[in-house]
Amino acid sequence: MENLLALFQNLFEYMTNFNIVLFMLGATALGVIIGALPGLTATMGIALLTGLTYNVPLEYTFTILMGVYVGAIYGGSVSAILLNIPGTASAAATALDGHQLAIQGKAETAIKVTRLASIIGTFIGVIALVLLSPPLTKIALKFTSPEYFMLALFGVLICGSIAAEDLSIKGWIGGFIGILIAFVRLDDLESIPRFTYGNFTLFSGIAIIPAMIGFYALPEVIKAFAREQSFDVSEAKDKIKADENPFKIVFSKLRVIIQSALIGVGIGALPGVGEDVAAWVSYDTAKKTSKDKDKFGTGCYEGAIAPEVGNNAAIGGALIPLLTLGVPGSPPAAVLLGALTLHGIRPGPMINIESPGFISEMAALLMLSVIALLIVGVILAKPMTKILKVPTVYLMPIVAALSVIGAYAINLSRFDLMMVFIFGVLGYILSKMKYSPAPIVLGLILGNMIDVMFRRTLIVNNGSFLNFVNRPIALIFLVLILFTITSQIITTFKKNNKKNIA
Amino acid sequence: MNNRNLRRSDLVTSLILILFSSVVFFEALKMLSSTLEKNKEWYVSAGLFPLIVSICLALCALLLFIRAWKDGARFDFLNTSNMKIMSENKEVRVAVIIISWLAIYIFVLLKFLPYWLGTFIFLFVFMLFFKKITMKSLVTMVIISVCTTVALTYGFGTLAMIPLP
Repeated sequence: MENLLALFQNLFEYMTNFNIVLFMLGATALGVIIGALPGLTATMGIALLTGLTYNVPLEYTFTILMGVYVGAIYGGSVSAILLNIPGTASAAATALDGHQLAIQGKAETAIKVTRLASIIGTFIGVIALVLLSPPLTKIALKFTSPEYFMLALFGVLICGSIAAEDLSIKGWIGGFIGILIAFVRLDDLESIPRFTYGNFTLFSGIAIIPAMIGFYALPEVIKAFAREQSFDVSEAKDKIKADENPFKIVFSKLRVIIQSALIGVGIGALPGVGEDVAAWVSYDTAKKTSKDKDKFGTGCYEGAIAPEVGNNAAIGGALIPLLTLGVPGSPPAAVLLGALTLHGIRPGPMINIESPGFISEMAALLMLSVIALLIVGVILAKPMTKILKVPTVYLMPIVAALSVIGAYAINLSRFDLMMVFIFGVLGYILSKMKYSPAPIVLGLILGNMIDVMFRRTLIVNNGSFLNFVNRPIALIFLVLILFTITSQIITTFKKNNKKNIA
Repeated sequence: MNNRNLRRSDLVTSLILILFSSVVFFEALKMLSSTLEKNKEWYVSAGLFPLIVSICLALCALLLFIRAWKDGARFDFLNTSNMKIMSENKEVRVAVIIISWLAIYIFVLLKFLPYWLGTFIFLFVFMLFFKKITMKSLVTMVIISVCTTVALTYGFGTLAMIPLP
């Protein structure tokens, strides 16, 4: 209750601050545009703006980043409905029914319904963030090296299993590659250089934000030019007058909303998994539990509401492990981790002691972005049709130039420019072979932590592995890791056997 | 990429990954033995965890190889006619052009020219590669390149006070 009170107090403070409100409206509008334009994602938007907001005060930085985050996750649904091309991967499930509604002449209502669903989803995510963070911080205070090791390893493996676009094993390979890349640095315990091959710039490790910009932005630039350009943009207004009230439509699907919000928060809270998976699982669950299963995919509102509630609820969910454990719950949250570090905030169990009130401030900014989305969504609904017609040939070179300067701005290092290039090429090749970037990035972020916590546990116990199994939380994570690995291997080979028999 | 080609690429990738993990394994082994030579305990070594991860990566790569092989992928696609077909693929050509131009921007233009000039040339030529040239499109490209360059130079250089590359 105390936390909810703090949230609304902060929200009131922000709402009476003209500059914050103005920045939030602008950032949310930018986020909606970023999310709506195919090829530009929430992760990319936040990563690029992290560079630009490097010298901006903390309060304004996170106003901008939260606005872009919420706006972009919603924005993806606009192009999913109007173009049948999801602006972000998290809106892919929305396209299934959303675009069918546009074809039926209900584009405007569909956009209003998904906007409302996004707002409700974000709102529930914020409430979950506020209510779940304090108990989780208390539990996290009991975490020592074995628990952190197991949690981080579990995060990389579960992210690999769930986010994998093709085989789970590819997700794990991505995670291990990310962990190995994280080892390129001066070792924290022995203070000796690892895999640096005499390059002093590598002693501090691979910078995460330039690597993420490379992984997420450049492959999209290439893919945008490679795919066909002719988009058929539907008009963002209803062609048939059915007198359907978006509020009535949304609130008549209360069961789907609650179900999808819980899925969104839960999946968002899993390390590295994020909004994309939350949307698909929400859609799939809504379909399986619906009385009108057959209507899914033909243009039913339930099919558009479920993924939008799910992916937006995942935002709050993804911030829970980020702020309380220092482990990001989604790729955009991983960039936020970089932004937090840049501004001297150390997320983790000590956050309430080192930066008191920061969690409720972040929650209040998220809540403010919900209000901003309500306003911006209405303003941008009509011009969005024109924005979506901006040709790739003009837009993507700008994205490429922004990526380069955005990566450089973090450390003012020419070496980071090289990193953007290398990770961009690597990211493109891996994406063509259906390796999801999420586990690679999570491995890169958590790799050093996994290694240090593993060896610290062994050092404290004179080389004994017992501490990994005789501590209850560590044991739970160990069981989950073993279950994840065995179940995925069995599933992969069962599928393979079935294929061979067929 | 269709499933058949995906499995073929998995076959090649798995071998590259096994090779890569072997290199990491031996490098990590060197670190481990250097720690032991200093009379330190094995579990302090910086090479310990890379050693474990390299083994895990090799095992995953092996599983990937088995899966691709069981799905019917073989190395018979590595011939000149297939390479020629691949080089004529639109996406491959687009990727080569963009990657090369980006490399020129990062390693040549930004190194030897002022940021604003390098960025303007990068943007204008980038658009030139992919847009049909007419008088109208040329004017549009110049306007967009100039506006973007000014916005980036002013936004990062003046507003954010970042020394530009």
